[in-house]
Amino acid sequence: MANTVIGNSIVIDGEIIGEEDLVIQGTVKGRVALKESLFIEPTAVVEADVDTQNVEISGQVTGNIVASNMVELKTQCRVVGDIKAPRIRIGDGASFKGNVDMDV
Amino acid sequence: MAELAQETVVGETIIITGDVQGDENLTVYGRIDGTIALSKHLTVAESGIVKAEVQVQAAIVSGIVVGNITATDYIEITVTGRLVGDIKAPRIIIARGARVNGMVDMGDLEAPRPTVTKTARPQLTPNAPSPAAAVFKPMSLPTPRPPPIPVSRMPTPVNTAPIMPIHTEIEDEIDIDDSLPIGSAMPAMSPETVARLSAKRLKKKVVVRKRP
Repeated sequence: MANTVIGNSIVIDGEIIGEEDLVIQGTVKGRVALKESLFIEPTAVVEADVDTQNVEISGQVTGNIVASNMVELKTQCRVVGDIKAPRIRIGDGASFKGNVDMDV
Repeated sequence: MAELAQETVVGETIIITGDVQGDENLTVYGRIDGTIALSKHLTVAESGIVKAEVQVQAAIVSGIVVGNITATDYIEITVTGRLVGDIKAPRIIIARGARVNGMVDMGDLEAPRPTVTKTARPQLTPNAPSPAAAVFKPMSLPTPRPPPIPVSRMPTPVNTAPIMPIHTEIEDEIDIDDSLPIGSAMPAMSPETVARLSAKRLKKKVVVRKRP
């Protein structure tokens, strides 16, 4: 259960660092570094480098993603950037452009 | 996913460094460094630390805030709140036990006190980019007025009705009764004056409303 939610109309320009799950429904520019999971909802626009344990993307991401566990690109997501994670799942309907590196 | 209707929560272990702006309520249990601009409420929980310039509709501080807060509606510092910085709002509530270090500005002290009503919330359009800077209008101090006439000048409740719109260009042509107490409604114009003035084509029109 996610405790932190960045709502739909929020725009954050900067860095987010934390040790818990984060749900992004708004816009984040900069950098996101978490020790837990990151959920990017369909309404989210993330122009940031991401460094977390897990990432679940349903929205729009422009930036490099580094995960220590798993990255999941769900339907209707749009990702432009490199992904580096030991486990990756790209669902049907996802858009992705970038490098994939699974040798962490 | 958890459907928190129209509210953003920053959890206890989250640190946000940068600018936060938006059109919804924000509750901070963690830490924000930078600036916050919201068109709704900011709540700093007891574990929250905000080191930022804050511009919101209303702020409720139960944690630590270092920085200036400007609110269009009210600022409330609860018993666990600690604030270092200036606060500027038409209504301020400081609970017993709170610690505040800074300047307090409630605007023009001679204006009629704002009534305790909920202000209308701005309409939300989902997915539309609407930075709070466009919605939020910064408070500005009114121009200085001549010193008050030393008579009982508390207007009766009837007089706190919305002020009639006035047109700046024709102000010279209205007889203003200077003996009237400040803050009372404009004297009604005679029908002849209304007919004469409405025949003119005014280049500039200013409507003065009571400050929300």
